Amino acid sequence: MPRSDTPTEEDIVSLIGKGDGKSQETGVRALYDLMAKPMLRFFVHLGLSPDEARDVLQETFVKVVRSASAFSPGGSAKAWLWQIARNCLTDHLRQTARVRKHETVFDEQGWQSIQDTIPERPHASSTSVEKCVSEGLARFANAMPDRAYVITLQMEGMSIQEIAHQIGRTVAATKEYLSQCRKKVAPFISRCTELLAAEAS
Amino acid sequence: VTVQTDPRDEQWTRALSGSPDPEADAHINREAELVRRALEVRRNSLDHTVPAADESLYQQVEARLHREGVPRAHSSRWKSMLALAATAFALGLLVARVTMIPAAPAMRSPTPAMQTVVVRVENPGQIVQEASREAIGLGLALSVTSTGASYHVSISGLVPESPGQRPLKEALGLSPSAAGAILVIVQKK
Repeated sequence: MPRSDTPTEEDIVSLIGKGDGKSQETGVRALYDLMAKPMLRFFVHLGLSPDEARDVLQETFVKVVRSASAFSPGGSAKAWLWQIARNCLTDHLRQTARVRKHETVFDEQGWQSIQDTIPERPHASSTSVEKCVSEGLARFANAMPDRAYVITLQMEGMSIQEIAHQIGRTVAATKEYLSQCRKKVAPFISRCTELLAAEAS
Repeated sequence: VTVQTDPRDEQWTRALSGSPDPEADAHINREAELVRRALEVRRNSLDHTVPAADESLYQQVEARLHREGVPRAHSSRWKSMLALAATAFALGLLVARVTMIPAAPAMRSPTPAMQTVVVRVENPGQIVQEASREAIGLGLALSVTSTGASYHVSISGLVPESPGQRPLKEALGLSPSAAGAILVIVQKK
């Protein structure tokens, strides 16, 4: 069976989990090459500054290396790695008081209070539909950065499976999550919808 | 559990992905297209601020792993030791040249603004090596000169009470409040 030159997440976690110096170094390097870029992007899109993103990435690597030997080979290594990244992000947000103690990033209940926020009406200067939607989306992304990130991935054509790994949900739950996005965005662009109707008539 | 989904949500999501359903309500497709454009602008703007996953950051990750007590590979240790040996050799040559110049003590003196701390330890070489590794991980400017009996470690960019710099300060015997540029003379006890 042909084998790709790029190690899989399972290979990487296995290498790191072996514990001997050389394997671990090879695994950490491979993990960095494969995951550092998407994880940094994930952290920034979820509201961290570049410096914070670097710090949380380092924390993620420390936790991965420390717990790699306990990883169960039957599970999805990619989902496991993203779970650690999300936990590190949540811990950081808690430490900086941006998420309350009981909340978790991508936890439906945790974000409920934010989602219940009544969006402001678009500014009076929103004369064009395009500008109105742009301003509405900015407020939406500010209130729900997790959803804004997920619909960005969807917009970019990422597979549901891949999105599911990143947000720690099943494929079915991710589809459901995505299908709710229209309703979540709607209050933020409600006035634009009126402008849109006027534009069409 | 079967979840009933609104077909308009599905159409909106498809249009958002750039594949609008021609049979869908034109209003839904238009709205999704506008959201898509706004998302692209936001995405591009954010992506510009994402730090590069470059070699420098990788070195910081490695240094952090070491600081947290995660063992490093033998090859890395060899690389570090070789780098230190090469630095020590180069600095040895420099010191040998400097000591032949009459004004050498003045030249080696720290600038007036630089604090000087003397640390006496069992193994100065190891302390200097640890400090060098920490400083590289933190991206701080550090230079080391060896006089044979001791090491002169000049370091700048210290921030008082910085948690990230604590291991470096501890390695050099500095207090957490140490700030700015400091010359640490590491001598054998």
